[in-house]
Order: sequence, then structure tokens, then C-alpha cells
Amino acid sequence: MDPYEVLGVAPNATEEQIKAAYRELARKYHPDNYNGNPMADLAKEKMQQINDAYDRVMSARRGNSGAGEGTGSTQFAEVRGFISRGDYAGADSALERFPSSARNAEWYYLKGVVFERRGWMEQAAANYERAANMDPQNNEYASATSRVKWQRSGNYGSPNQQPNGPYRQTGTGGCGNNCGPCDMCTGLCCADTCCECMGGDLCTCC
Amino acid sequence: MFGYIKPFTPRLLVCEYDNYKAVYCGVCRDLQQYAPMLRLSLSYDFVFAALFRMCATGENELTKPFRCAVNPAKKRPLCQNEATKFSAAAAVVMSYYKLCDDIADGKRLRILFKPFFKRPLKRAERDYPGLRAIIAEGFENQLRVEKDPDSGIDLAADPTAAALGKLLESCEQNPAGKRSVYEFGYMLGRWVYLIDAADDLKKDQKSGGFNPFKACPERRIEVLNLCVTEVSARYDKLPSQYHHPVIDNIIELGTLKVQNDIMSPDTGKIKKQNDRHNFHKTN
Repeated sequence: MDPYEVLGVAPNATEEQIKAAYRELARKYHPDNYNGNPMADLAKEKMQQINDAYDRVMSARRGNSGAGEGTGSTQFAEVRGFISRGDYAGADSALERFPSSARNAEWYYLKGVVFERRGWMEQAAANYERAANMDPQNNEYASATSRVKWQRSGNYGSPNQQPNGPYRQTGTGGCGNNCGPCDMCTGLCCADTCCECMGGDLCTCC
Repeated sequence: MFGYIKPFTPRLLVCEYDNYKAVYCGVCRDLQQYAPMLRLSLSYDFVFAALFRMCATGENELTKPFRCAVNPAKKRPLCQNEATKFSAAAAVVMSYYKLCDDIADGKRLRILFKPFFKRPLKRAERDYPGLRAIIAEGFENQLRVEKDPDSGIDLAADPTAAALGKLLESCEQNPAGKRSVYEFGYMLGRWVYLIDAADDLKKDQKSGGFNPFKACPERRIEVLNLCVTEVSARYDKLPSQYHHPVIDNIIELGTLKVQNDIMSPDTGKIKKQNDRHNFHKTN
């Protein structure tokens, strides 16, 4: 079965759209919501399908991107090798072996990557920025810096994607800018009043 | 942990919220079996930990409804299993180290409570052997890091972050998934530490306690934003069994809600409104 069909998205959908569709479906079919319900088995089966489809789509998309790739110099090929294999401790000790005179923009960028994987976001941000300042022409460093800036302002994902996924809005719910049940009732009342002014009646009960 | 990891309840489905409450009751009941007086210390973080472990183990059945001593007139749904027990054990160990921390902090009288922990602690250790070491290490390192007032933000947050990372990692059985779970737990723990620090900044400025934001109070919001967006990025990379609707809500909305409430106190009105959804009051 086509995983895109299961998720109900087009094959050219963005990663954000796929995630949103997946979350919506997972929410609808999660077996926890069917405890003690005769539909439980059906929901479980459906959930399994959705999970498989999501995993397939995501791994297919992740296959051709990842940290550690990029246009690096041969000098840091070893470090990039460690990073693409996911060995961040190895990458870090390889980086530390470079004398301070050999620490160029790429060194700081890679150091930033290692810090980011370790979870030290502030150090990572400082290193990315330093790399971008030392070599303003390089796209790799500039995009890492702008991504951090974007995240600092409270946004998730890359700046080129749509700014707000459906899960990124906080608020009290209900009557927002979008049409909620509240708006619908109000609209109906208004329409009914207007009709009655003109002698008609939209809702016969009032 | 500190009670910052909680769902944004107005956006939960009613059945999701009922499940959440059932797990809350499960952890509370298990905590009672370890140490009855510790039920008061139960925080939302441990309910999250139980939910997370339930996703890892696949256990999610509701058990028999029960009558709670708080309101015996009403029968409540209950979800009590190995995951809630794990979470309760973690709560016992955490409370003990928190107590030791307080005593070291100068609240000497609390030493009187220490003997009460002896048996529950022993039982928690028997049930979950690795647990105590993880939490003890976190508290020890935290103490060491906070002795140096120049510890940066990353270093200061590291012990708490690593402790939560290891705690969640221990729930994952598949070795291939352990790494992504650890990285997610690490970032979530880091956020918990930072949000707690941001919340306590005023108090620490007065009392002279350690706070990583003392040197740069104006940067709080951007540091937190970078961290919380990274939490949800790492959440997306978790194996699919963790994408439970309630955990989704906690990570994508709950964290932002807590952060908004702490960083912009002028929205107190909204906060009050949402407090009505607080489970203790409505249940």
C-alpha cells in the first residue's frame, strides 16, 4: 500500500505537512482512546498501518540528508566521517587534536555540530556564529546560524518552510481567528435575526 | 523534577484527558504503596514519565475503577501497571535526594524526615536497581556545578538533562532506539532545568543562590526558545510508539504554555482561566 495514501498526503508534501497529517491520524486512531471499545482491534490495526507508513516516508526522506555531509575540506574528512556515523565522542576528540592555529571556520562549525548533538545548544550557537563570522561566504555555516536564530525566536523547522504547523499555536482554544463552534452559533443567530427582520424565518424554533 | 512537564488540557480530547487522569491515579496509588506520605509530592513530571514508559512497554490497559480517599463518593478510572510503579519508584528516590539537597542548603530541621525514607528507598532500589544511581549522580553533579558561579548555561543544565535522558533511555528496550530516546530526554531535562531557573531568577537574585541566568537575565527567552524547539525536533525523531496523543500535547503545547506563563506574567488572567482545568479542582 502506498504510504502517502495511508497518510492522506501528496507525495510532494513537505515534511511539516506529513508530520501534521500523521499526528492528526495518530490522534484519531490511537488505541488508548478505544479502551474497552469493540473498535479497539480495528483501531490498533489502523494505527499500525499509519506508523509503518510514517516510518517509511520519513526514512525515505531522511536517507538523502544528514549531518556531517556537505562541502568540507579534506582536512576535516575524518571528523565528518565520525559525525555521519553518529560517533560524536570520536568526532570531538578528533577535533581536539587540531592545534589552535589550525582552527578555522570549518573547525568551529564542526565543533558546533558536535555540541548540538550533545545538547549544549548555547555553545553550539556560539560556534556556528563564529564560523559564519570567519567565513561569511559559506552557505553551510550561514544556514546553521540562521536556523539557530529562527529557533531562538520560538519557531521550529527551517526558516523556508511554512512558519506555523497546526501544532504550533498556543491559545485558549475555542473562538480564535478560525471558525469554531462559538462562531457558528453566533452566525446562525445573526442570520436568523436578519431573516426575521425581512419577514422570513431561518430557525423555526426561535 | 519540578512539575513543568504537563499537558495543555483545553486541547486534549475528553477521553485523552480521562486516560491522563487514570495514569495520574495509578502513579499516586503506587506511590502510596512505597510511602504514603509521599503522595503529596506527586508532580506532573512523574505522570509524564509513566506515560512515556507505557509507550515503551506497550502496556496501556485501564484497570478496575476504584474509590479514592480524597473523594470516596465517586468511582474513578485507574491505570496502574509496571510503568506507574517505575514512575513512583523514581518519585521516591527523587524526593529523598531533594530532601538531602535541602538539608545541605541549610534547612537542617528536615533531617528529621530522613529516617522515613529508609524503607521506601530500599524497596525502590530492589524493584529498579539502576534508578538510584542515575538520580544520585544527577544531584551530585548538580551540586558540584553550582559551586562555581561562572558555570555557563550549558554546563549548569547538563546534570539534570543527563539524568532525565538516562531515566527515559532505561525505558526503551530496543538498543537501536536508545540513542534517540536519550537525546530527547536530555533536551527535555535541559528545558526543565532552564525553565525552573528562569522561574526562580527573582528569588535567587534576592537570596544569592546560584542561577545560570544571573549573568544574562535578558537572554532567558531566546535560550528557552532554542531549547524548546529543539525538544520538539528531537521528539519527531523518536520511534513511532512514542507518538502518543497526550505526549504530543505535552511536548508541542504544554511546554509552550508553561513557558508563556512564566515569561509573561501579565497573562495571569489566562492562567487563572486554565487553572480551572486543573485536575485536582475539577475531579
